[in-house]
Amino acid sequence: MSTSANKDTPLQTPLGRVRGLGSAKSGAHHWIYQRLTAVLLIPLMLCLVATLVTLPSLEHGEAAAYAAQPLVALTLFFTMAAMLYHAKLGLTVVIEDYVHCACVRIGMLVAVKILAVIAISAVSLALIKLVIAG
Amino acid sequence: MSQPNTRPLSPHLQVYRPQLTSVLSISHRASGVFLSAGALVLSLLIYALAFDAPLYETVRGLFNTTIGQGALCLWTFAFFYHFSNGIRHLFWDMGKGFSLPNVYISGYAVLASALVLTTITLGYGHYVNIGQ
Ligand code: HEM
Repeated sequence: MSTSANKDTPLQTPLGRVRGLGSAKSGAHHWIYQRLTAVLLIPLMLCLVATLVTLPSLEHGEAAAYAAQPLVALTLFFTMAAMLYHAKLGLTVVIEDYVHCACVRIGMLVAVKILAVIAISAVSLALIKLVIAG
Repeated sequence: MSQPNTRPLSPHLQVYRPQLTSVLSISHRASGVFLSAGALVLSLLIYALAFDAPLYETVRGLFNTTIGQGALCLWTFAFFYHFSNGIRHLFWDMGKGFSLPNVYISGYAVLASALVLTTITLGYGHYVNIGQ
């Protein structure tokens, strides 16, 4: 965790310097995954929107039969996974920027994470059921 | 702990006149938050498609109301705005397009692209036809 490699960085606080806090070594992770999911979402979202507007009917029976095709279900899974992960990463930054009271902030960050996990779990279960049971 | 903080502070936003650059920037954030709500609704719809047919039809019915169709139109525009501006962000991330003239050119291009793609999409399905 702590290194003294950049203790002369002018933007470092005195407290940070005293504690020897430098790079946490994983700061780029969030940034990279926000971009990776953004690039993946370009084709996936275009495909989703095009499908939603061109399907002749989204009535329950027809929509379920359509989504039950393995390739459709798989594509839908990757779309929702990339979307929810991208949204989770994005909302995290927004909350960190605007919510200054620590206890509210931590609560909201945890809530966003839990919601994303619940959503992708529900989507996965639903798609597995559609493919297997029709 | 009580050391004076001499690091730079953000200036107060109110002293600035809104400009194309700043308005497009905050709109990327606003559209991202709005789309995140859409991602949850979409997850609920997929869940209901498999496990709760009446709920699926109820949500679909809601999208068929005036408010529902309005929400779909807004979501479509928010998506194509975020999509176009997101691609602009990705070019910036590669270090391209930072000169002031280019920032304005790409900014207007994003607006035009969002409007055209939204019009095509809404025109194609007579509203996104999820309610039909
Ligand atoms: C389809 C293509 C998409 C692309 C190319 C894209 C691109 C991006 C990029 C590059 C950023 C980072 C911007 C920054 O650093 O300020 C971003 C932020 C964000 N995106 Fe997307 N995005 C897409 C779709 C979505 C979708 C579908 C959602 C919601 C479900 C979403 C939600 C967000 C949120 C909440 C943020 C954070 C905004 C902020 O920090 O200001 N994005 N997007």
